[in-house]
Amino acid sequence: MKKSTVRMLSAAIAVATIPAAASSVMAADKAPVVIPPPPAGKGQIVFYRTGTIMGAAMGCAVNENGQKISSLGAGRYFLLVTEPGRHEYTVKSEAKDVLALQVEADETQYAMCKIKMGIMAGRPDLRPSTEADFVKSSTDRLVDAEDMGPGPGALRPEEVAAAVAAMKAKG
Amino acid sequence: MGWTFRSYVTGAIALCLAGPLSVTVFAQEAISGAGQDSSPRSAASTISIPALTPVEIAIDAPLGSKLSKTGELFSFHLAKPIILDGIEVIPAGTTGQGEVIHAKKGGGGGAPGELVLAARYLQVGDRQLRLRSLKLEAIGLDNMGTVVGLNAVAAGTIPLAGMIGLFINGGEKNLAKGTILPAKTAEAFAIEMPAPAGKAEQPITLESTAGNGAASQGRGN
Repeated sequence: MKKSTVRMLSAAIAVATIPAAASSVMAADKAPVVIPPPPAGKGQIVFYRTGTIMGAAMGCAVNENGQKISSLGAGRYFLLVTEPGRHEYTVKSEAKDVLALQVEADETQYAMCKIKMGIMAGRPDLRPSTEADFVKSSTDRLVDAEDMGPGPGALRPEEVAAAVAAMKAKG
Repeated sequence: MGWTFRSYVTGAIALCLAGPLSVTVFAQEAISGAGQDSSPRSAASTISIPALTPVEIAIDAPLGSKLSKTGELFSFHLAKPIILDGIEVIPAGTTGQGEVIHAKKGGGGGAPGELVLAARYLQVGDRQLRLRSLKLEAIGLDNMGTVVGLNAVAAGTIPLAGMIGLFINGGEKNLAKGTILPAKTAEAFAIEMPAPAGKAEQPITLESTAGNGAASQGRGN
């Protein structure tokens, strides 16, 4: 192998690993995100998207029954409060992806959007996730209120703050 | 032999006969009395299984992100009995049914297969005990990181090689037959428990000792 090829390969690998290294350093500095419990009798899903470079410019709007619930930019999350039962959520760009979840009363579930490789552009992939993966992703920015709706259920930042305060007051 | 002597003999015979007869009657009353006393103890008692009681279920057939279809039902059985206060309320092996909420096979670009399941109910006699909160790791092996790494390397060498990532599939999520999954009961469920056989028989044994010693010895041994 030529020296120049080896140098280029090393550089490419280094570039690819920079975001992962940077995010782990940043995660150590930040306070963990607090997810409040859902209101009694309701279920809750935390939708989040990691802050990787892959497809960072692409949107990943989450829809239900054809209505947009919220956009989901890179490195952001939002809380959806909804009725218990089976729900189908879709994300769409070059291709559509569907995720069905069984929402349980008084429980929080997690779903992650990742942009995977496509032919012309990246394709959003919505998949079930876990609390541990959410914490590990160090996603810590709520989606802005103006990027939510018109579909119901996504908690606005002030509603999340109020729910966290109520949770802390309860102890 | 005069009339008076015959009267004495008859009276004596009658007395001799009356003794064992009265003992027999007493013994019979004692046993039947014991039966009446034991009836509240042998009556079925009601036990309520609280909502959110943890259960473990074992699936009866393989399930998978590629193998299963969204909406199809699957059967399972209780892997461990439900025990409350040391009493087995629902035995292991009790059958139930669940639903495949979401099944998506692994796709190009390294996307992993996805499988979301829900436990619906346990069949307890002719009633259904609703279940909820079935937990499982819902995705297969994620190869999207590999694809990203490959693209980064390809970008610095042979850009077209990055297209290979489109053909790298993620791993499937597979559950073998017998896989045990945790769930919870969704509701409080009252169940009638028959009194243990030993307790129902015990009072009769004790009361019948006076009239039937052989029987009590037989049970005791």
